[in-house]
Amino acid sequence: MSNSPLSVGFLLPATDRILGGEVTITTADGRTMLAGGVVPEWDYFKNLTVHWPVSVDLAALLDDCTLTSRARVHAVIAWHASGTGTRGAGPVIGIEDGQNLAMADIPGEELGGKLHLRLRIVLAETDPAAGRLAPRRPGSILWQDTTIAVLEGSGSRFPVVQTSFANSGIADGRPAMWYLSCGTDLDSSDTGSIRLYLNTDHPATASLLNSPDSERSQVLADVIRYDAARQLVLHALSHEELDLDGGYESGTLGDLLANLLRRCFPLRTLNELRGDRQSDPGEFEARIQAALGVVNR
Amino acid sequence: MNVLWAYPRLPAGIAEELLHAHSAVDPVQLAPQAETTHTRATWYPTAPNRVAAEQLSELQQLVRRIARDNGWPGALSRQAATQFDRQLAGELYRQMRILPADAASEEVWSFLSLVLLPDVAFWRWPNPDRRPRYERILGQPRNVFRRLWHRVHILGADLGGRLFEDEAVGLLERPSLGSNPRTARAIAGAHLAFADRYPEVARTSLLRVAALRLRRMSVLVSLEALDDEQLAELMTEVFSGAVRSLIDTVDESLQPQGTYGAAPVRKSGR
Repeated sequence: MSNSPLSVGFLLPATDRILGGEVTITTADGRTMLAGGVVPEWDYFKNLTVHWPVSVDLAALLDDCTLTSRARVHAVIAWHASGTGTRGAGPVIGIEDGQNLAMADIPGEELGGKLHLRLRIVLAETDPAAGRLAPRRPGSILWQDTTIAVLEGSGSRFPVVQTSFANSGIADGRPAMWYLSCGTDLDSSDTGSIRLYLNTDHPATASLLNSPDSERSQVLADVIRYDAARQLVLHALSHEELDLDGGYESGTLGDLLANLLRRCFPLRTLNELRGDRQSDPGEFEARIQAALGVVNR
Repeated sequence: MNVLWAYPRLPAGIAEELLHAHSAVDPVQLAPQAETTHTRATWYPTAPNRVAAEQLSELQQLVRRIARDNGWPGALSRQAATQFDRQLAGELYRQMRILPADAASEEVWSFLSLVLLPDVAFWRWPNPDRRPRYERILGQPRNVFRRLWHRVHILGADLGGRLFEDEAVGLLERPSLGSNPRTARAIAGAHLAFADRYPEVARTSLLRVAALRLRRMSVLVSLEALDDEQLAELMTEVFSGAVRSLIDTVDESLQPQGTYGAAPVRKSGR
């Protein structure tokens, strides 16, 4: 079960009671592909149908959770499109012993970016004869699994905007080279929250944009890349609500910031990192440099 | 089948420059600068139904009429601003008939604010300090028009119109709760019912506390898997708990009833 808290307060089935199969995505024109990769030639006008097979040892599942044979178990596919932020779900199905097939019809006009899919096996309703530690609430999540389909873009880089700082007033219109804008909503899309502005007025960034393959441009690109990552590290440390164990969904700003800190400082907690920065900011900057690498050529 | 339209998009760099240029201009002077096209505008590449210039002009006239009804180009009181937003939200949604996926594009709303309707956009949300990246004018989620459209799309015109501004923001800016129309409408409906029943509770606090409880619960309970009755019962439980935590007027003899318990009951004589 992915993304589960350490203790949910009720009994869960053993992991081998439920086995998710290969998730397929079928477009309206009849093309079927496995989830986990790119949906080719997708656009707003292509609705998608998701099929998610799941094999359940129902008797063992109920027994693990101290539910009785009268308990009913359901499955549902929940979806979330990073490009639009919209969420929805397919129809709820009753789980039977053996093979089951959950599905969801997803309207293309509500989608964009990456499509996050989550299959959940849940308790349908309270079982009055269940054991003391059994799940009780309708909808209690007994098991879940996730996958992603990429609908648009690589999803791995944030947008870069070329603009005249003099004409747009960024940095008071003075000749800065770049500006990283980063939002604070940890649940919002990572690529939608971060934007790098390059100043077309500045000769160095103008040269980078016009001659990206020159050696000078490549060094500058490395420096900008490093500085953007550095700013994100500092943004993460300054964000009061960030929690490295917050269970942020993949593709959110919270997930990006938490992963960045874990990757750069795998052995340090958030509080330790904040303390490190406060006690010796210069040395902490050096550690960021070491973790990220300033110039890689 | 109703046709949904794709709208022109203004690239972010151009939007920043227009934001800077328009910010120092009086709304009356911005009106003649408004256009239905821009040389640098783009479209969603495969959109078969692009909104026509005539439709954009109709939209422009509609928004301007509502603005004039609420005092454009005069200074905007807080009350008039709220009234303008409420009148515009449903009309904007019905008139635009924009593809929801297209409405997720920041560039679409930048076009509306900076090219089609700068006179109204800067009247509603002036930017006298010429702040770059001003979120009310650029097409970000809090954009002058985008937030009204989004509110109606998720909550519907009725529920969306009955929520206060900070309540709508508090709900719709929590993606895990406010991005699924069915869940968001259940939350908004329960919130309005409890706010009506317990007028002594600060409405914004009620929604904030309930949303925090729901977010914690949604880690354990799949809201998508609940039927309508179960979802309504869950909302009753959550908002009852929120009310209990915010007021001390709860009958202490209250005992939970049903799956999710009952609403708190006020002490007699209050």
